[in-house]
Amino acid sequence: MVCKNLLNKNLVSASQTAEESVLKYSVIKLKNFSFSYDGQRKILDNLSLEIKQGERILILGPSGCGKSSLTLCLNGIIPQLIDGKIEGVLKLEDMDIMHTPISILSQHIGIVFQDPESQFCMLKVEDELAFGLENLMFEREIIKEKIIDSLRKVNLLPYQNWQLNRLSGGMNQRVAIASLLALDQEILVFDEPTSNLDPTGTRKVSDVIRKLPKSKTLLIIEHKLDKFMDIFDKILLLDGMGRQIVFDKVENILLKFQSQMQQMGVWIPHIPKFFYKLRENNINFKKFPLNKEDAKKIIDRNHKDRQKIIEILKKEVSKEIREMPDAANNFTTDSSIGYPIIKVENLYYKFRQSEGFVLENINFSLNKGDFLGIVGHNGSGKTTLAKLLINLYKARPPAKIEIYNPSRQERKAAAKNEILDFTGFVFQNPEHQFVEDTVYEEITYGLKIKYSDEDLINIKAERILKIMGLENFKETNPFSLSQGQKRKLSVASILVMGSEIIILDEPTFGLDYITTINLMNLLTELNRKGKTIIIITHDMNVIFKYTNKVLALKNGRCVFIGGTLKLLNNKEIIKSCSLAIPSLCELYKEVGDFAIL
Amino acid sequence: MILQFFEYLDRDSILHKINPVVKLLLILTLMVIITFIYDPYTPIIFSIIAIIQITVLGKIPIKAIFKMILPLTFILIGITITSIISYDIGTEKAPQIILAWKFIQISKSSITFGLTIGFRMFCFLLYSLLFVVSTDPTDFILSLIIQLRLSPKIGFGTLAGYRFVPILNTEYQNIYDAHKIRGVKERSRPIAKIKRAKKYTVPLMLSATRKAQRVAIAMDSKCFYAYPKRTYLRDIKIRKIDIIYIILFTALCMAIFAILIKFNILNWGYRSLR
Repeated sequence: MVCKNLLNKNLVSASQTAEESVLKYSVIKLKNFSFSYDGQRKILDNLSLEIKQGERILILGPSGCGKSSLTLCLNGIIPQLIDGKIEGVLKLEDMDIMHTPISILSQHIGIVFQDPESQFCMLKVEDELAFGLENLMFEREIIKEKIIDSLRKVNLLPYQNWQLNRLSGGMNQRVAIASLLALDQEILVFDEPTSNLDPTGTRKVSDVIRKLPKSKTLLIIEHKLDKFMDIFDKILLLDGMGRQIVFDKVENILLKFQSQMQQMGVWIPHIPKFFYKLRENNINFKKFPLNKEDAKKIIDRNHKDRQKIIEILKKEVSKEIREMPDAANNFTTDSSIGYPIIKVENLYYKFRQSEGFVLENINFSLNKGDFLGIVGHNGSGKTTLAKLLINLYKARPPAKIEIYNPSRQERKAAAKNEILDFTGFVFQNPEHQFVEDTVYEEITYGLKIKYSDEDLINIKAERILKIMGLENFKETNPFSLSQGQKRKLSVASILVMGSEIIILDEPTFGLDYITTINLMNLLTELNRKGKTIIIITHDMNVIFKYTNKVLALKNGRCVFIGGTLKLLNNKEIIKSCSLAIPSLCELYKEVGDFAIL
Repeated sequence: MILQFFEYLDRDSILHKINPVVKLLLILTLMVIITFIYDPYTPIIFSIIAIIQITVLGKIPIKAIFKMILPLTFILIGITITSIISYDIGTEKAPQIILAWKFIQISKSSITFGLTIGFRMFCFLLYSLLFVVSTDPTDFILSLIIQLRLSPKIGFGTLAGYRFVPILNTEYQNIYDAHKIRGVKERSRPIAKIKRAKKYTVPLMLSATRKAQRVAIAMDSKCFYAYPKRTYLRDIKIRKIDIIYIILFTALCMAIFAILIKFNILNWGYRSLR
């Protein structure tokens, strides 16, 4: 009997070690791996690391550090499809990426790309899922089973027969994940899967990623980490030149490299950032929390320093929230006080007679010096509303949209064709608004229409170039700038006009930490000087930190208009519009003793 | 152009079930034959047959057809009038002049000619519409690949490109708006217009190229051409219903031609006008 028990125990432990040894098997090996497109400037420089099966890796680095190139190297697209020079070794499950065909590598590694629109080649959900399986010669019946199975895993089974273009961005990303699950590859790579998505989409996609089977190895590139951070085992940190700074456990990196990450412009989630701050204040913990729940537990357990922690937390929270009274109070000397400069009444709008309303019953007004954030899910009508304000789309009566020129004395709404004279609009895609062949001409384009004095134009252009850090690119073609620089240029070319009202559509999209902070600080500065600013964004951190008013849209209806601080405490709206409040605020609400501010 | 005016309407009907290649080949053959017929009556009769097919076999309301055709009828009327005027009376042996005004001379034959061209276009439009509204684009491409042995590379590439048509359209509108905001004025002079168009093209081309590359990468990372052959989720083949459709449609056409010839209505070839 005893013998049998012992034997059993031995068997169990033997199978356990066997399991462990399987888990420890390296699926990706890089040794002195470098890559460059032209053989000169290295995109990735001397990476050496091993990734084991089942590990969940976060790849971090400033924009342009070669993260996306690394993912394309993993399945051989680089160098087999896209030319480039490779040094060192990269092995995927012991297959060399230089010599194994992409179609074989792809059976082991799948990628979800950033742009939901351009990663599909079929029109319908089920066809897209079938595409990979058809390539691998699965039988029709098996394909059908696998489609249903993988759609169920991402909660999209009811949409099996839908056209892809009728799904939202978040759903598209889930379809992309499902199409990889159907292929059952062991390694899954996500290249900024949520960066194009609204808060709801982000949450749903991150939920799906979180629930992926433990046996899959995950490599994720992501900026929006507040909802994600705790799922990772390790971080690969790259610097701006594509060099490997460190590859280590998440906690170690957050402890040792936080200031370096911040300097490079890498986003750091709020909660780890806050606990790092606590450490600086000599409050130590055994475990480094990565999500709100853990953080709460740690704070609750630490009775000794609780008061101090909450004090620091309060200070940090207040940094994330703009404390500013109503805009009008700041301009007591201004004659326009008390008068709105944007007045929207009874606004209903549809694109075609036969279609439903895109916007319904919108009423609001803005004062000079307001900093308004427009939020809402993708397709809720945010951009349409902004375009209606500047008369790009024309509202029909009885809708009333009145815009007043703040620099004029008389209280008379500006004529429709005059609105653009004092209003600037920055488009979502910077490339769309480039009209000239060099950065300098691009900046001066509008100025030349408005002014005839050459010197004045030069002075204004030079100043904005300097502020935006574009002075070294004067003669560059706008289209050959980097993504961040393009964004800066598009904003600069509008700001230089000195418009009284500035509307920005997703201005922080795709920007790294430093550029975002610089841009938002510049806007705040302009706002202090009395400019009215309207910003459309999904980034709730930006909303709470910089705006003083929020307009929330849901399916074309305005569900909230009012002070940003009021929104912070309005749980219903936050929930029904699937908005998110910054995680530090959430933490403060739970551990703090009183309601926020 | 047809893609912009006509769109696929999903229905569960006989016309939708017929193999796209079968439909396409029948329609093309009919179109070629009609091209050689120079009387307005034949295209009118075949237009009516097209409408009956779309409404009865395709279960698409007649209202929807007219909605799609209406914007194009003005072009048709224009084509008819120009054809009437541009018809060269000089080649006729004994022209019956109906109207003569300055250098314009209109004979009975020129009217026949104009109406023939007009109704022929109308007939072609209706058959294109029949094809587009009742053919799932994916089925169409797949049947080109399976039945006509089109290379999957081209086939799936076309499908991926087809997805971008509406996307690029929106993008064009955005660029147009963005330029307007920058203070770009609409110019009426042709040279200025061409210069403007160039400015639109650069960002559009850039975005299209980028999208195309991304799709190519996405397709390759889903094991495209892992094997020389592939399987298909959709079961697209020539079925009994297709054979029946081919037989019935051909028989109907033959019968109509026979009757038209018997009553001497059908005119074969351009010379028959004189």
